[in-house]
Order: sequence, then structure tokens, then C-alpha cells
Amino acid sequence: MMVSIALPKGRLGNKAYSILQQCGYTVSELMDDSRKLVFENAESGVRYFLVKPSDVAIYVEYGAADVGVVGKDVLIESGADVYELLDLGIGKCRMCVAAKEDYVEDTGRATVVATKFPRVARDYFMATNREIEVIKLYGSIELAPLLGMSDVIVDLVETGTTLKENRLKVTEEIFPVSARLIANKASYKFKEREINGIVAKMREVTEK
Amino acid sequence: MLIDTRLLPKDERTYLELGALYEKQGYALYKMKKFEEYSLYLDNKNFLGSGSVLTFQGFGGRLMALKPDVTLSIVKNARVPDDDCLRLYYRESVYRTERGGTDFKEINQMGLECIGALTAEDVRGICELAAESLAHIDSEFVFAVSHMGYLSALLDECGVTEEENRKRVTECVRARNAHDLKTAAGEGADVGRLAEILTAGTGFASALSLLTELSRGEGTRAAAEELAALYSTFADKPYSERVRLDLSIVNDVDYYTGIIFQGYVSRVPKMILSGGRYDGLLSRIGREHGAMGFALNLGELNAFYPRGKEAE
Repeated sequence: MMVSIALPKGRLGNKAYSILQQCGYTVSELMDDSRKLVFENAESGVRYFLVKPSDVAIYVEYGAADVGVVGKDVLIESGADVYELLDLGIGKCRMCVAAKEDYVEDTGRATVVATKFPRVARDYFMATNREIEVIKLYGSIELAPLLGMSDVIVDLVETGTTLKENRLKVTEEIFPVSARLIANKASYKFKEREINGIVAKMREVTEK
Repeated sequence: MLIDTRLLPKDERTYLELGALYEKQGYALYKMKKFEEYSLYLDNKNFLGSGSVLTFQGFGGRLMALKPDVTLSIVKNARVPDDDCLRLYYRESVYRTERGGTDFKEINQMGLECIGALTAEDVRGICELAAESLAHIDSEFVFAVSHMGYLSALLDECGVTEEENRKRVTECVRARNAHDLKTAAGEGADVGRLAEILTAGTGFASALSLLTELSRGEGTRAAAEELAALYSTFADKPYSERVRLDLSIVNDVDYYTGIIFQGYVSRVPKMILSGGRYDGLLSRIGREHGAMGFALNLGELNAFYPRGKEAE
């Protein structure tokens, strides 16, 4: 039975494909520089879709793909009701609250938070009973506090270099992030053997 | 004039076929109003799994709601005989949001409820009817069973006692996430057995022997025995390999107490049937009865079984 796999376009997708390649799920043309979005290898029983990283969880939740590789950040933000079968240990970083180096919280008013992850930000601040106002941005989040648009940002921090170069600092760490292998719950019911086969092989490669 | 039922939309045909099946098993059709007082849903928000309810002002200023769920109305209004069970089936529209969205949907639902002095035979009979319902819709189906009593007792045995940790571990179980279990369980808990269950297959026989092997206390042992009795019910069925034991199926532990289940058909990429034993709901509203039932989302079917093109 063919298993369809949604991979995020870009660096994380390339790393995930390299693991899948080591497991024997190779599709030679996938790494070619083409505009194709669907790649299939009937022999190894897999079909790959290349999709925007933030859409992987949606493709899997709606059953367009049986399994997918997605960052924990995107997974939590999407709220997708899917199985999370494996921590691939790649694409490691941290979801953090960051602010200007001299930032001191004004507890007398709502904190303004700029972020690509409004759900994560709301859940985190709500858990500590802090009132916030969220500004949703799609990129260059670090600019927001520098221009006085927000007090803090909620964003991914890998090495911290971007923050440092912009005189920002991490004030709170929310959760560690890495790539996860997810599966559609209905697909898993009908392709359990095949999907568990992929999980077992990927576990073997990632735990080496 | 005779009507060829094969030409009916899938939801209509399913309703007619399953209605006949349920009536043959002693269930009577139950019709109800489209709305209830809002307070009924407010008090049982966790049973609904969502707080989103469409409300309106009723006569005399009472706050009313379009039904987001049928079971609560039946449990509240139905008269249950003292020494037997009330057996009902229904087809109703419910109104709620889905997938964490903000838009309300009218959901075309069919289901049955059995409330009263439930016996073990009743429980097995309802599971059988749920599996038969799926088989009527599509021969390619999976009926997956779990047991809230087993999970709850296993969490106790593993030392996951704090409510916040139990919630986090339950979320991991629901996502078949064995890698974050340890962090979710907190210090002092040993969730190795839970991880073993989550990473094993769901074939009923093998999963049952694993659950039995990992039982250490009375709670898990009793639940495993109930599951074993259920398995014997299905042993001779032609679809027995389609019945699975999957502990990742989890419902709210305050409402659901025993066997719970979900149903899938291969064409629909989401769950279409769910149900289980919900004695907890009745005790929360001050009633002593046992109760079990299931609901089937008929509205999902037509998109995946287009009229006249089912063979494709």
C-alpha cells in the first residue's frame, strides 16, 4: 500500500529526506532543481509532496498526505489533530520570548507581543495569567521591538546570533523545538503496518 | 411508486439501513426539539469537547442554545425504566464548530443510546451494532476500541497522580507520542509501560495480551478482562481483523468510564463514528443509571460516496 509523505520545502525538508533516503525511500528526482511538487517511487511504496512548511500539518490532518515531517512549533501552532509518532531530532531550536536588552516589563498594562505564532503566544501568557495584545507578523519579527511596535516577541531561537546582532535577549524559554513525524489518524488505521515500518526505520537512522 | 434506494444519497440510504438494523435490535426512533436551555451545555462543557454553542434569547428571557450534542438532551429528558434499559436511536442536526475553527456547522448525525440497568451483554451488543453500522457503510472499515478505566488505572499505577501531569500525559497518549511521555509525566513517574503500549500494534489479540501482561493492579486487570470478553464477541465475525484495540483513543475521564470506541472507513480521512460508556455523565447530573451509545457523522459521507459513483 502506497504511503504519501508531506515534506516541508527547504532546509528541514532536505534533512528529513536525507533520513528517508537512508531508510531506502529514495526518489531520485526529488533533489533535482525542478518545479515538480509530487514525486513517486512505486517500488519503495512512497509518494512525496513538497509543501510550504506551515502547511504540512494541514495536509496530514485532512488526509491529503498519510504522514509528514513538521517542526513542533508549526504543529502546536496549527493545533492539528494528528498522531505524533517520532521525534526526528533535527531542526533543533527553542521557542522563546525575547525583548530588547534593556527591557523591563510594565506590569501595569497589557504586554504587546509580535509573533508568527499567535496561538503559542496566547497559550503561554494565558497559562501565567498575563494579559497580552498579539500582533501577527509573517517575517523579520525582531524588528517589532526595535521600532517600538511591540514590547516582546515570541519566536524561534536557534543560535541566538540574530537576537544578539539586534541587541535583543531571550527573557523566557517556552519549549524546545525539533522536527516530528506526524500521521493522519484515519490513514494510520488503514496503513498501520506500512507507517510503523517507516517509523521503525527512521528511528533506527536517527538514533544511530 | 417504488424507489430504488441505490439512487439515494449515501447519508439517506445509511439512515434507512441503520434505522432498520437498530429497530430489529429493539431500539425506538426518538425525535427531539432543535434547542435546549444553554445552561445544560454550560454545565457539561467538557463532555462536548468544545465550548462553542449557538445561543439565542428564548421566550421570557431564557438563554437557549441550538443543540451542539444529542446525548445530553436524551440523558436529561428521557424516562428510564427501573429494571430495564431505555433503547433509543435518533437522526438529528447538531450545531457546532469543528477543528478549532470559528464557523458553526450543521452536522447531520445519527446514533443510538442505551440508558438504564446495563448488563455486560448490552455493552457488547452496542459495540457489535457500532461495528455493524460501519460494515453497512463500507466493507473497508476499522472499529477501534479502547478502555478509559484501563488508561485511568494505568496512570495511577505509573505514578502519574497530579492533575496537570495526567492531562499532559493524556494528550501524549491521544497523539501516540511516546517520546514526550517522560517529560509530560513529571518526576517520579514511570511511564515505560505506557510507551510500550503506544509503540506496539493495534491488532486486537496482540494488543490485548500486551495490556494483560502489563496489568499490575485491580483496575487494569478488570478492564483487560472486559476487553477480553468483548474480543470473544467479535472472534467469529467475518470482519474480526477490522476490530482493533487502540489505547490512543481517549475521552474525558470525568464522563467516560469504561469501553470507548471510534470508527473509520477507508474513503473518509477522519473519524466518522465515536461512542462509549458514559456512566460519569449520568452521575454528574445526579442519576444512578449506566449509559452507553454512539454517534455517526452522516454528513461526512456524501462527499466521499458520490451518488451513483460508489463503485469507483
